[in-house]
Amino acid sequence: MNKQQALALLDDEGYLLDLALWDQELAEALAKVDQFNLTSKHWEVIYIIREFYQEYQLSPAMRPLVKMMANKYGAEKGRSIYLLKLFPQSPPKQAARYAGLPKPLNCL
Amino acid sequence: MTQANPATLHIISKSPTHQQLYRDIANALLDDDAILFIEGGVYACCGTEATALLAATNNIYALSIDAQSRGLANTTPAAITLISDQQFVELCCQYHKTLSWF
Amino acid sequence: MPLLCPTGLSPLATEAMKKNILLIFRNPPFANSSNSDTLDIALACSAFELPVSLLFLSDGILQLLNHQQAELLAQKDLRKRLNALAMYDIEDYYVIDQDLIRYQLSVEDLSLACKVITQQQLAALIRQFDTVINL
Repeated sequence: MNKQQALALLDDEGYLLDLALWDQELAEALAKVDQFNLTSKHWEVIYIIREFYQEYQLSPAMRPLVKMMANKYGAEKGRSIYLLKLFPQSPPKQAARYAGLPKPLNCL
Repeated sequence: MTQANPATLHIISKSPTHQQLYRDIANALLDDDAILFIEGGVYACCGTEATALLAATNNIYALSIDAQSRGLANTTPAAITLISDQQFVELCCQYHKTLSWF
Repeated sequence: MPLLCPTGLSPLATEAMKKNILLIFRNPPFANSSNSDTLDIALACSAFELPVSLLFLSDGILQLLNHQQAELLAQKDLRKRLNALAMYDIEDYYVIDQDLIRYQLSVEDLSLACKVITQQQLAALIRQFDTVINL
């Protein structure tokens, strides 16, 4: 998937219009557009927020994201500073974008 | 800023046809609270509901423009104070909080 | 920088943050958007670390009924999002005993663990809060 193809699938704010179109390849393509490198640590977060969305029909804000990371991967990764190092712009927003989820509301 | 008055101003905009709403309001009311009828809520002034609520609190107001425009200004019981928009704002400031029943 | 907790706010704003808020759900499912809007307010309050409590009043308790099938109406099921409240540290929920009686329900029929208060306790509950939002 090239840059144009990936961008055509996004809304004005850069979030995927059709959630069903998401796959790993698309996430990689979006990251490439941003010149952002997705490591296995990023993927952990991406999968966890997709799990959150599945369960709650909601893209998580920072607090529930931290909580869910702590529950699943332990206290070390369940901290906002850990997530901010991975996604410096804003962990909930940036991760939601690569996870193909709507932009999180109520997120500072 | 400290508020001396801990009471609530209940603002009601629905007519007494909404009976459950009026039951909820009656339960939500303490005797130092106030009630302000606005919009369709002013129809409560010409029914038995206002009388029932008057038993719970003495502080009942209706927005004059809403009562007048609906032809209720002359039939509003004396115990209900008709107020202007300006007084509406002042009333809101007198109470710790407002609670809207829309 | 988009941090979790807004810092650098004026003392006035910090003061405002301490205010506790009661949000009232008063509508049955699928009636209008007010339950969904109220839930959005709850989640937004959580982002600002405002203490929030929820009251499911009158038909509002119907929003909590188990076994709803919103998909039959091609509607979103608000309960999934309501279940996320605990993840946002919002865990203070109230219902009124008379509303349960009126619909012949018990707390086991509800999808959130609500405290049951009496009609007579409602006014005192409301008095405890700095702000009450009743959409």
